Amino acid sequence: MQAYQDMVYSTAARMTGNPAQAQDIAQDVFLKAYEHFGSLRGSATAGGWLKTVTTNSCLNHLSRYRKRWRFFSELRRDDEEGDDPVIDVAVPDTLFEDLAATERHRLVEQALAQLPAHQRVPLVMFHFEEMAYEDIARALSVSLAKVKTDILRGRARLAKTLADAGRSSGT
Amino acid sequence: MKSDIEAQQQRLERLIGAGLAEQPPLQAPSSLQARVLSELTRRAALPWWQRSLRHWPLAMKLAFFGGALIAGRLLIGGLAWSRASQAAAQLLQPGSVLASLQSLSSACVTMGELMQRVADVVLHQVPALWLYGGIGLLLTMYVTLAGIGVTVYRSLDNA
Repeated sequence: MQAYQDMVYSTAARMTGNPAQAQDIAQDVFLKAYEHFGSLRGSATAGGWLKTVTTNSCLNHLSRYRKRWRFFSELRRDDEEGDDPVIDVAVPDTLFEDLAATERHRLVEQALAQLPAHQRVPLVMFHFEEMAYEDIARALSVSLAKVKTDILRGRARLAKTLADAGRSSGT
Repeated sequence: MKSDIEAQQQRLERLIGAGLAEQPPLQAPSSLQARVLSELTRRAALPWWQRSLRHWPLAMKLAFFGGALIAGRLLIGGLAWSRASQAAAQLLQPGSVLASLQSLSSACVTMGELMQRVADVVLHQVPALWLYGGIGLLLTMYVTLAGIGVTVYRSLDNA
């Protein structure tokens, strides 16, 4: 458990954006792992198994909220459903390279947690879980175009939040 | 213009991707391990009948399934002995399934006829102005309620 607890907790915390929920999910994941201890002990795929179970647990946890936000987010963002969304984003040159690594890591986690769930979840699945757009769309039961747009908007929002945070930290 | 935006989006992807790739895993709270262990201890201390069937002793599993079989058999036997069993037995016959389907289809036909009569009355006896007014009112109420819902959701979402 010690070898994987940070990985499981990180995945849950980044997907839910909530440390208390992440701890509950991580606990459930390790209880499930205990039930499969016989097949997981010494297995080279134990890490992958834990990661998959964590991701699925987070999606199950979020699904009851997801139905609500998907309805309203799609209602208010019809323009996101295009095949080729053209979104003009302001890209900063760097993400506060002059800050110390620890401070930078803290700001990134903070900015991630501030993203709305419909942008944070696919963004985390893409960048941290290294899932393909198609797999994310399937897992979230949304269109491929929406996944791409949500990730793009999430990146833009993250960059803006980080740029703002970097400026205020630098002053 | 579009290619400029695409290039900018790709640059953003690289920048964010590189930034996130540098992130170390978050440190799990020290209480996590203790929580898991205490939950495992609590579950292990539960008596077998409060745990899932998978964790029951083999003898109890066998007794449970045997008991369930006997109970099922008794129930079916009891039904066969009672007057109600005649209806139950008929239900199990292939012919009676067809009869059920037939009565279901006749119920559907009756329902369809009823709907047709209602539609007939509504279309021919209710003045058109009332009809369109009613539809307009329903649509207005629907749009208003959806609008209020979206506004409330946006307000709560942005809060």
